[in-house]
Amino acid sequence: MGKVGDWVRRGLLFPLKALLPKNPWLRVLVYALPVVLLLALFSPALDVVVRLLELVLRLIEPLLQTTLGRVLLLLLVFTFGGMFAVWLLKSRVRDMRAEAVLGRHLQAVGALVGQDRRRCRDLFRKVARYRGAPPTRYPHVVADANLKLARESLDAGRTDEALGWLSRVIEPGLPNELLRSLLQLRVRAWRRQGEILPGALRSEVERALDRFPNDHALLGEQRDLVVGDGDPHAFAAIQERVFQHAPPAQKAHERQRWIEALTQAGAAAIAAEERDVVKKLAKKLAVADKDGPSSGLLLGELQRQLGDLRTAIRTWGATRSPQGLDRIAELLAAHPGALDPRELLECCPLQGTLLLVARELARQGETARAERAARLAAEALGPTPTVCAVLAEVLGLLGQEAKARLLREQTVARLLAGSPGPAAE
Amino acid sequence: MGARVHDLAPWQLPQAPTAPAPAADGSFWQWLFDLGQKPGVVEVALAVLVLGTAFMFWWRMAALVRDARSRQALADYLLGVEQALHGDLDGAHDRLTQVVANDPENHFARLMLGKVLAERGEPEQAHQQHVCLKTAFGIDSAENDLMLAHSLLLAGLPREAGDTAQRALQKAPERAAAWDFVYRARLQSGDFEAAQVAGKKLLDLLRDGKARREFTVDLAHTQAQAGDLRLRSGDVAGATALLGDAQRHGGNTAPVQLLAARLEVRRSGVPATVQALLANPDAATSQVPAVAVAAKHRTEGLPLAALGGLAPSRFTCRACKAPLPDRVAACPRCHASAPAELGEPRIVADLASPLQTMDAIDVNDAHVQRLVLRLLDGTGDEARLARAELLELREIAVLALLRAAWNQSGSTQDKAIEVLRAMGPSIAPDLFSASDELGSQRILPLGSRSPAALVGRVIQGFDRAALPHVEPLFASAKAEHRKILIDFFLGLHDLQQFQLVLERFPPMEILHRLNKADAEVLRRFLQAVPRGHFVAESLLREETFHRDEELLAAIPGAADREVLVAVMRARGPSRSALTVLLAGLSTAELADTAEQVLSELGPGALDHVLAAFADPEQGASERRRLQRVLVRLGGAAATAVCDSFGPEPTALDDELRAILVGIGAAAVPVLQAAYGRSGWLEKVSLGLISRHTNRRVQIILALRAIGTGNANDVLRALLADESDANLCLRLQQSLHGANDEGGARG
Repeated sequence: MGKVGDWVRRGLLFPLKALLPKNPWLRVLVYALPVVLLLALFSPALDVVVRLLELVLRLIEPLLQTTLGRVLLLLLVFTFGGMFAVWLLKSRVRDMRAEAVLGRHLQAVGALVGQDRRRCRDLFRKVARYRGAPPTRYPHVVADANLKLARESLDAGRTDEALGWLSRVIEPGLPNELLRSLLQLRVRAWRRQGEILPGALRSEVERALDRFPNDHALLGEQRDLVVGDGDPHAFAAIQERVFQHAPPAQKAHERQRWIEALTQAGAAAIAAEERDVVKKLAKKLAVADKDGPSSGLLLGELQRQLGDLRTAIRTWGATRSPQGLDRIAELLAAHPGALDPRELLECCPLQGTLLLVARELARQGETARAERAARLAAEALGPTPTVCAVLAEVLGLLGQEAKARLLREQTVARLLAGSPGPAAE
Repeated sequence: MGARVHDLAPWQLPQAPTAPAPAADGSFWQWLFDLGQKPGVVEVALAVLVLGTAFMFWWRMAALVRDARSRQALADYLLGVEQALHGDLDGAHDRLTQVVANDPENHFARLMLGKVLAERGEPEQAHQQHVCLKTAFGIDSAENDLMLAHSLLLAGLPREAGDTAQRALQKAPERAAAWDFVYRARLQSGDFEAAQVAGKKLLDLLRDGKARREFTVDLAHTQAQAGDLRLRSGDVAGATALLGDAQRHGGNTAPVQLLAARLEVRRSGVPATVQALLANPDAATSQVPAVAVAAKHRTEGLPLAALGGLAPSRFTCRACKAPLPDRVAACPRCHASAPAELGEPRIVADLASPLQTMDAIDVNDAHVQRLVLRLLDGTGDEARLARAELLELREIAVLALLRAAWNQSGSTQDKAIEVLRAMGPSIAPDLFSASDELGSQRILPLGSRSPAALVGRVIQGFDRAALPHVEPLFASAKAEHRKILIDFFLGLHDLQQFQLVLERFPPMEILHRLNKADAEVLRRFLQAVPRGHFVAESLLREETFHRDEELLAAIPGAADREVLVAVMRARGPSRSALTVLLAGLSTAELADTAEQVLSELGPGALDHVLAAFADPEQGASERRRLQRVLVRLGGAAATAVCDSFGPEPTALDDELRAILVGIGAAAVPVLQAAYGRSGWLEKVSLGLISRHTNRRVQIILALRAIGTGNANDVLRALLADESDANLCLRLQQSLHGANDEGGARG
C-alpha cells in the first residue's frame, strides 16, 4: 500500500519537479513568488511589512549621519553577511576547515622531518587546538599532533608537558600506528617523570608489551626497569629479546649489551655456584659473542671453580684474547707453579704467554731459563707497556735492576719518539 | 551655574576652547588626517580592510587546503612518519615507499624514507634517496644535505661525509648537531686538524652543562692529536699553539700530556725528558700508560701481580685512536662502527710452535738441532737469526754443529765450520770432546771421514788466543789430537810457533796435514815461509806435497815471493804444476807469476806451453803470455814450432811464425835444419804428399821476416839446394825482397 502511495505521490509531483529550476536560489525565488503575490493581494499585511522597514530605516538613519554610525553599520552588515554566508556554506566551510587543519598538520610534519623544531611545535599546537570535524582523509590528525607534541616535549626534557599532551589523546579508535606511539611515549614519560609507583609503571609496560610484544622501544623500557631490579638473569633474558627485535642499525649495540648482560649473569651464577646455569649461559654467550672470548672466559671460570686449573688455563688460552691471558696471569699469581711452563705454553700457545712463562720461571728461581723466556718475549712482542711492565718485573726478580730500568727508559723513549720500535732489547 | 564642575558628567563639561587646527605643514600625518576628514573615506577604508582581511584569510585557508589536497596517499604518509618515529622501521619503509611511488613530489616523505633506510642499515639506498632529492628535484636543503652526509658516513666514507656536512652547514651554521656530526666524521677519517676546527665551532654553540664540559675535554684530546701530527710534520710552533689550546680546555688526558712531553723532547732531548718523566710519577704525564707504568715501577718496585690492568684500555679506536674499554660495537667518541683495535696485537698472536718455543727456552738438543738445520738449510733472515743464536749458545751448540759438518759436505760443511770458528777459541776443549764423541761413533775408522779433520779446520781459523786451549793436546797420544794440533799451528801461520810442531812431529805427518789443510789456511801459512826455512827447503819440495795451486796462489802475497818461486822451480814441470800454472795465466793476480815460473821451468814445460798456445780457445792475453814464454825458450821452442806447421796454411801459422821471428837469430840454424829435414807429415804419408809443404813455406817466410844477413845466407843456401820450382820461386821472392830492402837501406 505504501509503495502504491509513493508512486502516486511521485507521479503527481513529477511535472512540478520537472518544471522547477535546478539552481537552489531560483527555487527559493519560485517558492517565494506565491508568498509575495499573496501579500500584494492583502495590502494591510504588506503595509505592516513596509512600516517595519520604515521603522528600521528610521532607526539606522541617525547612524548614517555620522562616520562612527556608518562604520558601525558597515561592521554589522559584514558580520551578518559573513554569518549568513557561513550558514549558507556550512558544510563547505566545515570541509575547508578540516582540510586546512590537515594542510597545517602536513606543514608541521614537514617541519618535523626538516628538523625545524620551533615551527613544528607551533604548527602542531595549532592543529592540537582544532575542535572541528575531523578531515575525512585523516581523521586522527589531532591525536597525531598531540603525540608529536608529546614526543617533542619528551625529547626536550619537559616530561610534565609531554604527559599533558598524551593525556589529551583519545585512545579508543586510534589506529595501531598511533596507539603504539602513544603507549611508547606514555611509558617513557611516566618513567622519566618518576612519580609513578614502580608496580604501576611495570603494569603499564606489560600492558603495552601485550599489545605490541615486538616493540624494540618498549622492550628497552622493560629492560631498563629490570636493570633497576638488579637481577642479572632477568636482565640477560630481556636483553636477548631487545637484541632480537632491534633495528639493524642498533643490532651491534644491543648485541654488545646482551653480551654484557650474559657476562654479568655468568659472574652471578659463578658466585652462587649454579654450575648448570653457568653452562647454559656460556652456550648463549657462544652464540651472542661468536668471535669474542666471553664464552671461553666464563667456562674457564667455571673450571677454575671446579679446581681443574689445567682445563681452565686451556680454555682461557683458547679464547686468544688479552682477557684470557689476564685470567691466566691471575690464576698463576694465586697458584704459583700450578702448571709446568711447557704445559702452560701448550695450553695457551700465544706470544703473550711467553711473558707468563718468563715470570713463572723467574719466580721459581730458574734464572737462565727465565732470561731466555724474557728475551724471546721481548723479541716477539716489542716494547709495549705490558711487556715493559712484566719484563721489568722479571728482570727485577732476576736481580737485574739496571736492565729493568734501561728497559723502562727505552720504552718511554720510544713512546716519545712516536714509534713503537722493533723489539725490546 | 549652581552645579560645580566636578558634579557634571564628562559630556556636560564645558567645551574647552578647541585647539587650533594643526597648521598645514605638508607632513604625511597631516595629509592622512585631512583625507580622513573627507566623507566616505573611513568607511571605504574599513570596507577594504575587512574585505582584504577576509580575502587573505580565505586565500591562506585555500592554500592550506590546496596543499593538503595535492598530497596523495596522505594517511600512509602521516602514519609512515609516525611509524618511523616510534621505531617500526619495516612498516615505515613499506608505507613511505608506497607514498613516494604514488606521490613522487612528496619530498618530506622521501627525506623520511632516506632516514628510515639509513636506520635499517641500508645506507646505499638512503644515499640514493638523498641524491635524488638534491639532484632530480633540486632540493637545496641543509637537512637533506646532512642526511646525505649521514648516509655517506654509514657507507664508510667519513671524509666525504664530513665535506658534505660542512657544505650544508654554510646554509645553517648554527646547528650544533650538524657541527657535532662534522666533528665525529672528521675524527672517523683521522683528520684531527679539521676535527678540532669543527669542535671549536661546536663548543661555541653548546650551552653550559655536563655535555659541554665533557666535550671540552674531548676537544682537548683532539687538539693534542692534531698537535702531534703537526709536530711530526715539523711544525713545532703549530703544535705548541694547539697544546696551549688543549691545556686551556682543561685537558689533562694522555694525548695532551704526551704532546707536552714530545715538545719537551724537542727542547731538552730524549734522555733528559725520559729521566725527568720517570723521576716524578705524579707529574703531568701520569696519564700516559707506558710512562705511568714505568714510573710506578721505578718508585715502587715490583707491584704487579697480574698481567692485566696495566693499561687503562687494551683496545683503541682504529679511526680516532681513542682508548676503548672493550671490543665495543661503536666508538663512543667518533661513533665509528666495529672500531676496536687491539693495542698490543702481538700478545694474542699465535706462537708458531709452543713445543719449539719451550725447547728454545730450555735450550735442549732438539732446539740446537733445529737451529743447526735452520743455519744449514735456511735462507736469509732465518739462517742469520739461527747463526746469531748458535753463536750465543757457543759450547752448547758445538757438538751439534760438528756433527752436522761431519755428516755434510761442500758448502754446507763450510757453513758449519765457519760458525764454529766464529764461536772463538774458547770452544776448543768442547770441540775436542765433541770430536772424540763423534769419533767413537764411527763404524769404519776411515781417515777422510774423521771428525778430527773438521776440528782441525776449525782450529786453523783461530788465532794465538786458542793456544792455552790446545796446549793440553801435546800430551795426548791420540792421532786425532795430533792432527788437530798440527792444523792449529798451520792456522797460526807463524813459522816460529810452527817450530814446535817441526820439533815434535815427523815430517811426513806434517806433510799430510799440509795436503789436507784448508786452502786459505795453507795459503796464509805458505806466504809466511821465510827464505831458507826447513819448510821451504824440504817439506814443500817433496813430491808428495800436491798443493801446487795454493803454492802458486800464495806467491803474490808472500812475504818473500822468491822463496815460493824457487820452490816451484825446484819442484819442476810436473803435470799438476803445469796445469796450475797454465790456469794461473788467466787469473789477473797470478798471471805474471805463472808466466815467470813457466819461463823458468825451461824445455820441460815446452810441450805443454806450445799445446796451450795452439789451443784455439785460448784467450788473446794468455796467448801473448805463452808467446813470450816460448820466445824465451829459444831454439828448443823454434824446433817444436817448426814441427807444428800443418800441411795447409792456417791462421795459427802466422802466430807460430811470430814466435820464430821473436826468437830471431837463434832460430835461423834451427830453421835451416828443419827445412832440410822431413816433417812428421811427410814421414807418415810415405811420399804421398809432395815436398811442397806449408811447413817449408812458413820457414821461408820466417827467415825472410828475421831478415838478418845470416838468414839471407841461409835462404841463398836453400835456393841453391832446392830443386822444387815452386819452393825456388818462394825462395827467390824472399831473396828479392831481402835485396830490395837491402838496396833501400843502402
